[in-house]
Amino acid sequence: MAAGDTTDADLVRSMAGGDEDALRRLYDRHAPWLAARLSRRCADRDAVADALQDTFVAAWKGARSFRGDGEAPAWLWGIAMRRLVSRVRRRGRSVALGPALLERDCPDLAAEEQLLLTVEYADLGPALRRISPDLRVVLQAVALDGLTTKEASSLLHIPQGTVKTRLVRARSRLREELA
Amino acid sequence: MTIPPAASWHSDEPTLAAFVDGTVDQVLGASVEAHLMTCADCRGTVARLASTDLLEDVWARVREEVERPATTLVERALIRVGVSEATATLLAAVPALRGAWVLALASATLFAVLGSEASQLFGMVTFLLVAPLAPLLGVAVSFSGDADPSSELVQSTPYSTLRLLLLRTCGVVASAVPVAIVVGLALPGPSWLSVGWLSPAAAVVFLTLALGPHLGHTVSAAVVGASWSLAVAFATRTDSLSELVEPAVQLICLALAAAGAVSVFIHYRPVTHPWRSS
Amino acid sequence: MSTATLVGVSKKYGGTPALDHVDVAFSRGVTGLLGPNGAGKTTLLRILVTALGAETGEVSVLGADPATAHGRLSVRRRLGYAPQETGFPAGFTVFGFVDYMAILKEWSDRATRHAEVRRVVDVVGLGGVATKRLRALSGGQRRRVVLAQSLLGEPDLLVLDEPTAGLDPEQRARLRDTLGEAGQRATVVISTHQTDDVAALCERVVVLHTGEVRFDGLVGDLIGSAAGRVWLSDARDGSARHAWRTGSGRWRNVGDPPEGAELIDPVLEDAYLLLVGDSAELSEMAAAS
Repeated sequence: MAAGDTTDADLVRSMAGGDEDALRRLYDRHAPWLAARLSRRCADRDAVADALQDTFVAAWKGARSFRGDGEAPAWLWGIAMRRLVSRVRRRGRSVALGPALLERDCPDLAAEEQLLLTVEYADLGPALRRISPDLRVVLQAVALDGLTTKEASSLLHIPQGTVKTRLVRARSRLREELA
Repeated sequence: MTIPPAASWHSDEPTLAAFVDGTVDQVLGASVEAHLMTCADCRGTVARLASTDLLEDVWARVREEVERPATTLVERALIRVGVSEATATLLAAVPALRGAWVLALASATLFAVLGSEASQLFGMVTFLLVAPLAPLLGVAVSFSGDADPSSELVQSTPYSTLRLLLLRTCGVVASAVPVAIVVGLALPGPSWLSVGWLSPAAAVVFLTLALGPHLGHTVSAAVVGASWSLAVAFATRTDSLSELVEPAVQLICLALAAAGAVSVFIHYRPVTHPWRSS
Repeated sequence: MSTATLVGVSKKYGGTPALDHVDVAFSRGVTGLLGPNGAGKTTLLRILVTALGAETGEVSVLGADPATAHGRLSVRRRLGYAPQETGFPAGFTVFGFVDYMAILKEWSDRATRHAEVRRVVDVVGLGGVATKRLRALSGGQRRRVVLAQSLLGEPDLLVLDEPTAGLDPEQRARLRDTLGEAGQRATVVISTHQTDDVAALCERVVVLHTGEVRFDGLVGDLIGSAAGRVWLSDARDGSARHAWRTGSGRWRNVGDPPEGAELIDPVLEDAYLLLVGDSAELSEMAAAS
């Protein structure tokens, strides 16, 4: 295997053995997209930076428990999202939400963008755009990011009850759109 | 429109650029995110487009956190009490003899407890013998030449060797205290046993340190240790063990300890190293 | 202006003099201390780093007198020392040990201290294994840890005892770079018995033999002293003081060449052999008379 073909799983394995260079390489590969993805949920740059730091420290410490059967990006995102929620919770009500979680209507898309939407989400993509923003945001947090109701409530600064009802309505609306 | 196989389709650079700076449409952004989970090439593009300031800054912090040794419980407790963080690290870095001789202390005091099953007197005597002498042993071993394998290096640093010596002593003695108190309380017999040994221990340790530069630490430890043993033996013989821990004797011990400490401060001379062939 | 001077310094152990009326001065740049084991190099280094006192003579290091406690303290504040052999207290990681040494060097502020620790750990190329325990490292890596701590705080006097021992060629080259750079600003003293290290790295060299200084000057001058005294031949030349077979199959001879010998340019090793060989002969002659 050529040096350029080191897989993420290989890097995590090296990390478990105390190889800091492997951590650096994993960081170079994944920190950029993780940072962007986190920033879309939280507009507070410091909270995002802290969450990113926590993520890779946790990845270093937990390297041994990474099974390697799951993919590294999913593993890292799972850690990152939880760390973000934790940081946001610590900061309290003052934390600004990122663009992914703001209740905004969707503008029109160009053709290439429509294509991406369809590739990744098939019919779901366009349907998602048609349901109301407040419902969509909750769906994003719970269904797409895999947060619990409690975590979504912390992140979005809305009561848990509201999260639950919006989720139910989002799902039924989506079903209507897809039918 | 036909959907191309996901593996060969990549989001284009403008979309990824919008994703990176947060201006991408909400639902489209979700699509990009889903795509990035499975596409290393697009992740690479994002890495290229992302601003390096935040990423380098966070990396420096990750590195710092990953590399620094974890603060031990002991260090944290010390810092809570007001010890400076650097001193706490030094205290925690005392050569790992503590494990070995805390074990020795524990087994010796266990011996005392078992012995006191047979005879309360035996338990008391053993405990009074062992409890003050164990820290002494720890100190003596700490300061013999071989105890710190990096001693040559340490000696070339500006940090006061005296201060290091005293810190080590404190560390060694402090580890003994909880064990000995607990065991003392567990022993049947007078309750003063559990704390009555503390000032003799202080006296014994500081006298050893005071005499150390003049006689050598090992000899000094032997002399002081023997003196205490004789005192215990004599008190046993004359059936006056409890007098050993009377207030008068306690005060004498404390005074001796204080004198020893003062002497250490005033008269201390750093120990130069014996020549080893080059 | 010299950074460190020893004048008439002697040090005896039992009856044997480790240093015998040594006069030597070190200044900015890289100076090699060359000599066989037992020549007194380590004793001299120990005097420089204030670990030993001289019995006779005067010592001045970094403008201070190491015979006084105050002088020793001021030297130690500007000193970096990498001894030849050192053990480590149990349980340290690379970062932890260098951090410990940094605390002993009075770096009390944690943030700046950790940044400095990372810097020196990176300089010696151990950045990737900073969290590993020392006992899990190879001998060469452990030597680099000792080297790293000596670089803390960019000392004005850097003293290294056999720094290249256990290092592979790539690490040696890197070390040479580091020391060369340090020598621009500081006084670097390297004790070694490897002539090629001295040749590659040092501007000045002090040759120490049985406690006496045999040479103190520029490396070039020492090499020059062997000019016309090194020649090649097809078989071992009986008149040579030292001779050995080279990789090419021919013999390299050092000593007094016969008429018409095929002279070649000397290297430091040749000059060193001649110097030390002459001394050995002289002291034998003195003993015999």
